[in-house]
Amino acid sequence: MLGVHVYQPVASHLGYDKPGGFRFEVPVEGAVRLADVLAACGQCDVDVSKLLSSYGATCMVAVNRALSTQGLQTEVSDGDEVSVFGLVSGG
Amino acid sequence: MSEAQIRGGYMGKLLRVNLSTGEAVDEPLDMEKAKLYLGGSAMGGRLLLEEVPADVGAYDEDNRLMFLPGPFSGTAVPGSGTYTVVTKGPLTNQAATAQANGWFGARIKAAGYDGIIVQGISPKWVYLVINEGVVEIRDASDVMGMDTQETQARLTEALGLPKASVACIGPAGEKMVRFANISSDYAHFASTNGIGAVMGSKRLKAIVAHGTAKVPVYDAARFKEAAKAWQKGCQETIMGSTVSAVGTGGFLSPAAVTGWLPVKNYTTTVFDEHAQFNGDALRASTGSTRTPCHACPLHHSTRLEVLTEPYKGLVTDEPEYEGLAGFGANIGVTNVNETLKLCDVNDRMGMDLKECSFVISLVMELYEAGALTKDDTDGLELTWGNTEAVLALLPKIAHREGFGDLLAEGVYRTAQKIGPEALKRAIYIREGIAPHLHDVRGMWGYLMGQVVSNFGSIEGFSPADMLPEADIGLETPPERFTDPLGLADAQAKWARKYAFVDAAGTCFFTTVALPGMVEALNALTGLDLTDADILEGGWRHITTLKLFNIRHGFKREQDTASPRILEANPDGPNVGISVAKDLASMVERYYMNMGWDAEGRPTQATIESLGIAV
Repeated sequence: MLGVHVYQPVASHLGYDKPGGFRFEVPVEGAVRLADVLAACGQCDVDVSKLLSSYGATCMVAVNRALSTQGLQTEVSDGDEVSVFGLVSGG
Repeated sequence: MSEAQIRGGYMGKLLRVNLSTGEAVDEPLDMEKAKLYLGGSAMGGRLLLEEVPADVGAYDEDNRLMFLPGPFSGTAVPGSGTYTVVTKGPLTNQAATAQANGWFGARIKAAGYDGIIVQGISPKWVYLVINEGVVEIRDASDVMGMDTQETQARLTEALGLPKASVACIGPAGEKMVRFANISSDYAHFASTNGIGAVMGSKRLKAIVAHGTAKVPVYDAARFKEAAKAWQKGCQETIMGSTVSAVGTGGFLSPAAVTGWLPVKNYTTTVFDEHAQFNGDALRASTGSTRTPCHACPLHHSTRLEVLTEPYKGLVTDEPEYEGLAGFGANIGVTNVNETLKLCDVNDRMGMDLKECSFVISLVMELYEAGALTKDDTDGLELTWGNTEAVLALLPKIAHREGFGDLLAEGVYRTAQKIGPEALKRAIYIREGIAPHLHDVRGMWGYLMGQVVSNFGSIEGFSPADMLPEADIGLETPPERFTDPLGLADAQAKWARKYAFVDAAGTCFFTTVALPGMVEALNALTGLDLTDADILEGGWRHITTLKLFNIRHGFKREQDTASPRILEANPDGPNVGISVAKDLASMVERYYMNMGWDAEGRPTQATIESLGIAV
């Protein structure tokens, strides 16, 4: 299974307003693009593919807690634990 | 560089106040200098170089304490209430530039000035009132000993100026705690490198700014369009969209997941309680009211009311990420209400929370290891997460009482006094100043930006290994941990851009791509600058500060980090990663990119090409 945790504020753009965002697990075979997983997972209340085409640049992704610089284009595989954030920074 | 003259964005004069003599005089702004050094920290660096010679210490009367907005301050571009404090700071004994948002920068402009230069030492405690261009130096007896929040409320009420902004110090600044900060507009702090201690050394408790003057705009219609586009654009960036929705507290869970949260003085990276601290949960668990800064659509500044025990009923300003990290995970506090209380007390005392957090986490680690006992700590049991003990300790630091007097010197000096066991554990950079509240062992961009910084805190914004920045030619970040020289190359570009952002008079969180900001700047000022001019200006700004720092004792070996920061991560996703073997070559590569020699000294060719008069 692939585990995906979408944190706020990205989760709110996918229809989940609750603090903490949402997490789901989905079976995948081989390497798949994270954006495709989100679009096909059936977990989101909005048209993910449309949303991600505009919002994709404004989120960061960690796979097994290691930052990927590819964002939603990151390839993920069975057994991975993926985190989708807004900005990971200071302030 | 543009041949045009500045015809907007500036009020045309600086206010110079000599507290030794009680004189306050208007000085015309040198517009040629303003064009070379666009805005607060840039102009401040230039003035430091000209006016503060090498033999002047941070607390000497000939040190300058400057409050400088930028050209955008007080205009319609987003987050333009910003100003920068520039001085020689007592933690590094080199330049300090500290930016704060809110309204104070806009109010300095509305009062009729492009900046305030304070010099001298007052024979008694005073505060300064600048109201519609009229300047008064007043006795401060009535507000002495008051905390930062009480001082601001008392002065605006006493003066009958509810819409004035006040910048002030708290008890820590009065006692010259080496990391005292300056508070303005209640929730905003210019913090780094002990600028509040410098204000205290001048016996200046506060500055009140009020006025109704408008910032001149060269091309009003064009500027309106540019500002409108910037307002929209900043809400769509990754930084703006995150900060607007969940505050900078929204970085807490991401930092915990990626191993970048400082936990218990870097002894671990594990903090399982992060979810309750993250911005979304924090706002959901408290009553919250937005308190936006000048002209900002992000509205991230927020007032919170604690609705549950402990500290039910506490009303305080929402801490930024660094407060939540610094008085949460870094000292082992696992209840977010306790963290809110600690942040509130720290802010009222007027102390830089990163230095304060890391000096407390240092002595907590030493206490847990048995290297300090209750005999050393005035009876305080400084175990991880002991909120009551820290609540007792904070005022002792601010008032320099007992054990608190030792900690009031900051992390590096406290560790030196305690001894080798403390120096091994202390978190500091550049022989004197605590880093921002991240575990930078896994964030080499952030580490790099602080190690080479000439600002006192961080050289621009430096997530060079995390984010692309297409407008400065960085389509893809360098590979983390495996391309250290690529990171140094990227950081030199980030630093040039964000040196401009630091000085321009806008909030860092509202930053958009260069073309949009440059269009607004040209419409405002009548200049015809290019993106390249702006990046060259950022380079000039940094190099000028470097020249000041060299004059004030900078040595190449200072551009490094403490032994604990150079250790490998003990656990988490970055376990085993250490920057130790790469840091020196990264620093030297950065110097090369900046046109400096291997010792960090700007070459003559660089100085001449940037037109820096030395």
